Amino acid sequence: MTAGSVAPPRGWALATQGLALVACIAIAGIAAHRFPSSSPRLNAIVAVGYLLYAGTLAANLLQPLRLPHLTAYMLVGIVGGPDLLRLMDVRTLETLEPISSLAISLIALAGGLELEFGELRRSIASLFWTNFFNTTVVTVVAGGAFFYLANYLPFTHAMSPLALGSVALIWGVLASSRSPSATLAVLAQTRARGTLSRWTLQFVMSSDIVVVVTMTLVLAIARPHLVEGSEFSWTRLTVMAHEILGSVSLGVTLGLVLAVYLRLGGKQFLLLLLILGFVATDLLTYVQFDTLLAFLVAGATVRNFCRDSEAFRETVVKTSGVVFVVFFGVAGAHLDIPLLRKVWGVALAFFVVRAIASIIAMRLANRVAHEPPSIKRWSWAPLVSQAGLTLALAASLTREFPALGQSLRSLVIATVAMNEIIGPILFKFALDRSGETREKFPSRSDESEAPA
Amino acid sequence: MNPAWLLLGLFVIAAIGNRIKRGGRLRGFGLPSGSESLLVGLLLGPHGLGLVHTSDLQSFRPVVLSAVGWLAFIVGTRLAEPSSDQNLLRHDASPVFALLGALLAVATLACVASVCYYSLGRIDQLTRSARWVIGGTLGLILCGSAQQLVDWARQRYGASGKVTDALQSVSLGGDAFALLGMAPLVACDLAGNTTARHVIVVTLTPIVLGGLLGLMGRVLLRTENRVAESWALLLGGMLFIVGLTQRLGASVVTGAFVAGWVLGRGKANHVREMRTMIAPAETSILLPVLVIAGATVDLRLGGKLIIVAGIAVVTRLVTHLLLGPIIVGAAAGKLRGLYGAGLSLASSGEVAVILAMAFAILHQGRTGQLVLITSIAGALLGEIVAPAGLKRTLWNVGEIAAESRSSQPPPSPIPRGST
Repeated sequence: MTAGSVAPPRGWALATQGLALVACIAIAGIAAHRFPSSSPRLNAIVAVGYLLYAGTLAANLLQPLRLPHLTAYMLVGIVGGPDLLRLMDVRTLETLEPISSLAISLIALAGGLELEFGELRRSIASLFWTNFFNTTVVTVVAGGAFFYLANYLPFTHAMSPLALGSVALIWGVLASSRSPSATLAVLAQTRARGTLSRWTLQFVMSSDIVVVVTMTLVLAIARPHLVEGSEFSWTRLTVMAHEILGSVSLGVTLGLVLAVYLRLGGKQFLLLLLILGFVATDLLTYVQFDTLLAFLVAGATVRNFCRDSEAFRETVVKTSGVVFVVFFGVAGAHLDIPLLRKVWGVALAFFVVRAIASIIAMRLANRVAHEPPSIKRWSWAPLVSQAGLTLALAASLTREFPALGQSLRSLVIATVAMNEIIGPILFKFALDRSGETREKFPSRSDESEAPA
Repeated sequence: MNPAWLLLGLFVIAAIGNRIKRGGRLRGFGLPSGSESLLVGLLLGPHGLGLVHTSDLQSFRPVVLSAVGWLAFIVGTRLAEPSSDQNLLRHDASPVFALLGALLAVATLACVASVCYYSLGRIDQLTRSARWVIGGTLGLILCGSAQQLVDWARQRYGASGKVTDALQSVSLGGDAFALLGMAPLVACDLAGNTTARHVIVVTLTPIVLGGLLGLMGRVLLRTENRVAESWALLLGGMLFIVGLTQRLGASVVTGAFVAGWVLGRGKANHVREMRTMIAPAETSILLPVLVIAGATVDLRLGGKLIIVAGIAVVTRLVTHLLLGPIIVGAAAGKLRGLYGAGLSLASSGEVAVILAMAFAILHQGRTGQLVLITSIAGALLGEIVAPAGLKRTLWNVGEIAAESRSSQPPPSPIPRGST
């Protein structure tokens, strides 16, 4: 039997899965409320079980609506999170942090494994123009909207125009950030192959570096206007340069080590991924390098310098499939629903402005770079998603500017919540419409028939 | 050291050990109970290099519990339909044989528990309740035998026949009894402060929960055939059972075992596909668990109670020597040449270590250590005497062909499947 004998579930299968989902939530609810436990680590076992079980079922149930799986995973997280059914509390979610580290390393590695230097060389002009227009247009439009809507944001009322302009600039850069994790998750689910998916992957991964660099520059410029007594400093830029060069160097080294392991016939892929996800991530964090960039480079190195990388890539994709369920479930559980209810109006306005800015930026970039029709038509759709990177940048702002960081961060969280939920739906829709989605999935029967 | 790093280190060591064995460098020495991994663990533990300490077991608790639950789940799927496994059991006869195996397990449990209850009273001032719970647990971990030993004989010596089938089924029955028997023991408090109602409820909880989630999994796997989704459902269901039973103070291994058993009774093609999918995970998980079991043993913590470990192992050996030939003889329909059958059943398999680990996590300190040490002692003794006993028995009854006594490569360690 060839890969792909599996059709999405229908009829009574969906009914069965719906019942199982209800039973799962009911059991988890009874356990959480009738038999509470004080150990977050033990609660984490139930939480992961719940997210995997309920997330998979919910994804199947939403499949007829052609929604991406990660939307279902997030919904399951939101439902079970501290703001709704309270099946998982905040401490339990904190315990699941290592899974997020594992997910981020897998996301970056999987992304890197898709990047071929030959293809990158061919699309260098396209990447340049897309990043250029994304950074300039989105930053200016979203920042302008922030400046204009500042009256509705209490934390900006006491600011001087220069300080407000600085915050607006920071907001603009935040708006230009995209979501590698959501992109990878949708591509992994749909197994999409084609111009749009390749272009999206290359752009989203490269924009990650561009946003980090731009944010560092903008923070260096904005700091003197936001913190009394501070001055413009080149040190920050030097540190950033070290960070980027260090991450690339370590990524290349890691990639070469992986390539040697694969060439020697290593087969312990799962163990290898666990070591990369936990140990290598800890080490990179310790030396303050960018994990995402280092793993991205490592993946690209393996892809381009090792001919035996296909099995490894398959393992990364398979493992990601399971890890994503937990990762996005946790992301959903982290969503601050009361905050979203409080500032949903402003957040919605920012969401719309960002989406429009992205469409304008892509139209300009596509015209200059002479992109093919499918990209011209749909290139804006993958760019709506925002997730981990934006939240990480917002968290660093809280540390950088304690006075306004918390309020700004709350606004970022509320806006990201909308982008996070709606973005993947738009991306999947675009992939479906451009005909790049492959509806066929590897089945269990393929594995049982495969030679040992 | 960071517990996550330490745990991964143990995983790497187990993987390297497995690779060396599979690579054939220890050709001729690879025996079925996985004692090599236990010994590697002992070398890393407090009595060896001191890299791992007993207290680390609590740091590894969620991972070890999940691993132990997963292994019990796999044992459950295997016991549900042994005839469809790699071994060639006769489907019609196996339930009767397994029942006889359970009978032997009950007898062993009774003997070991009684002797341990008496010994513990003489050696230490433990409460009656604690003595019964510890004695019962020791009885349970020693009442079964490693069914992989028979696989080993099949693969290495081409063993086949009624006695071979009987021995394997007897082992299966013993495993099932031990995994189910853990439920009431976990429900009992060492201090004796539990009511009968509590014991009944906590005993039934993992069985009901495992049955329910196993049934759900069975239905869902019929409607879901994609690999990633099947994995997520199996893994999610398993962790759900492990977490819930642990939170309710019930037996993790019983819940997982029942779930595996119910799931394994599903439609043959789905079960076959599922087994093919999960088989490689068994060795990958079991070997690190064995390494951790060995590494967290501290004889000093056990104190005087260590003597009880020796008494328990000897009692079990004597019981098996006396009753083994009768039970196997009844199953095979003949007694001639079976005087060594008891020795064949002296090996301890993964179930013993699973149960011991589950108990040691629940009861830290010397009682947990006693159970862990007993399981390891049982495994090591079994490693020495059981293969010889089995070979002799099967030779006596003519189920090993003369030409197959050649030096075939050793079997894969413990369960079937590979990493």
